[in-house]
Amino acid sequence: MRSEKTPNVRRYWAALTFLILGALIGVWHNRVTARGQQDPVVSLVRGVLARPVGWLHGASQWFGAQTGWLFRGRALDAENRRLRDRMAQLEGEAAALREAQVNYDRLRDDLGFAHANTPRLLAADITARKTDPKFDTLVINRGVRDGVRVNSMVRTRSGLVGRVFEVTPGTASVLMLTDQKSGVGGRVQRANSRSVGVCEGNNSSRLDFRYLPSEADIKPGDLIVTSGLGGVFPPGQLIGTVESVKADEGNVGKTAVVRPVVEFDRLEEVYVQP
Amino acid sequence: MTPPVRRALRLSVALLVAALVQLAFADYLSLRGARPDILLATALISSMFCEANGGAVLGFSVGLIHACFAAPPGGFGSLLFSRTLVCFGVGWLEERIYRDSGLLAVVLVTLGTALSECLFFVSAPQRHLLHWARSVGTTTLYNLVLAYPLYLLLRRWLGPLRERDTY
Repeated sequence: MRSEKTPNVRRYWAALTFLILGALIGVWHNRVTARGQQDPVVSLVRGVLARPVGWLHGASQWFGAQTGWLFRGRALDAENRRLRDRMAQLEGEAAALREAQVNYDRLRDDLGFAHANTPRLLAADITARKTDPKFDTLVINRGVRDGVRVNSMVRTRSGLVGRVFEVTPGTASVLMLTDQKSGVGGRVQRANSRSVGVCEGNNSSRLDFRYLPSEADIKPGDLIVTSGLGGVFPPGQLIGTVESVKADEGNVGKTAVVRPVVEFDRLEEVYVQP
Repeated sequence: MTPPVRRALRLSVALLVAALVQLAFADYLSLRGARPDILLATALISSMFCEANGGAVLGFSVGLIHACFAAPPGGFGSLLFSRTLVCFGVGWLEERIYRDSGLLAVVLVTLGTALSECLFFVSAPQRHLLHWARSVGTTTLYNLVLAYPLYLLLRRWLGPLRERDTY
């Protein structure tokens, strides 16, 4: 029996070595990233490949921008009209909000509160997006050198994208809100309802807003923003809009389906809050 | 340059091109939510032109590239393990059971994609089983469609493993 096994072990030494090496690298990687440190193996592989991938990704985006109208035609025209209407509406809202901000700042001054500093945002290009069909992750071209660290918030102008979960000197991996491993504390943004829950991804284009109490006041059309609970994201970052609400089994709570404001399939650049 | 060295170089070039295509364009190649795993399909077909050890090295390389760019928290080692094992299996079978052919390439890519994703699932369980199954199913179908053209390209680029394969 022994004499039959030994030649096989010798014969398949490479397979055994690489299987063991893979397991060891995996365990080591998990430990290093859990501590928020850089994995030199990832840094090395990305150091070689990230730049050409970024160029190709940029070239494909440019090509898509040049030829997209060929495929979208009328839809593009309708979208333009819709966006113009939306922009006019938002300009009105922005003016009202600026007015409210002025009043708010004046009242805070009167009450002696300190002003919150506006956080610095760092623009980043996407190097690779959803390269594995099973995971909703991004690789961006900003890393430790730019001050990005694990759990840095990533957003667009419209709303929250996700958080950084791995960094190398020149790149960072982002876990998008839609990934099934993502969970963000959320709050209903309505004056008479401040219900709090957790927005969880499920690898689809919608989020599940879970753990709401059964008496939570939430309805379709409500905006969901980050609650700030958990300490990863600052409060008030826009997540999405409630599409539907249903009671959980046994009526112990409610779950809402949330449509994110960010169009994850059309992301081209993002902002990182280091 | 000796034939084995030339073959190794050609394999490396094939994998590098597949990696660049996968990383830069996979999202753009999405059809109704289905995305291909060109890197894995290339590795599985390339393993047919190696032997078992070569397959393991290929699988490890592909798993490493994939994991470095796409692994979610906790999934790094599982990607390495599943890719290495499946590509080793393809190389091992090639040594014992079959010789390369287009039909086999289609079967191997289909089964290999599904098997490597199942191995991944076993070592890194996913929370939403249905979403995972749908994603794996559509990727497997996509890879099935890509398998034959990829096989023809790789066979032309790498050449047959043995002289007797040319019958």
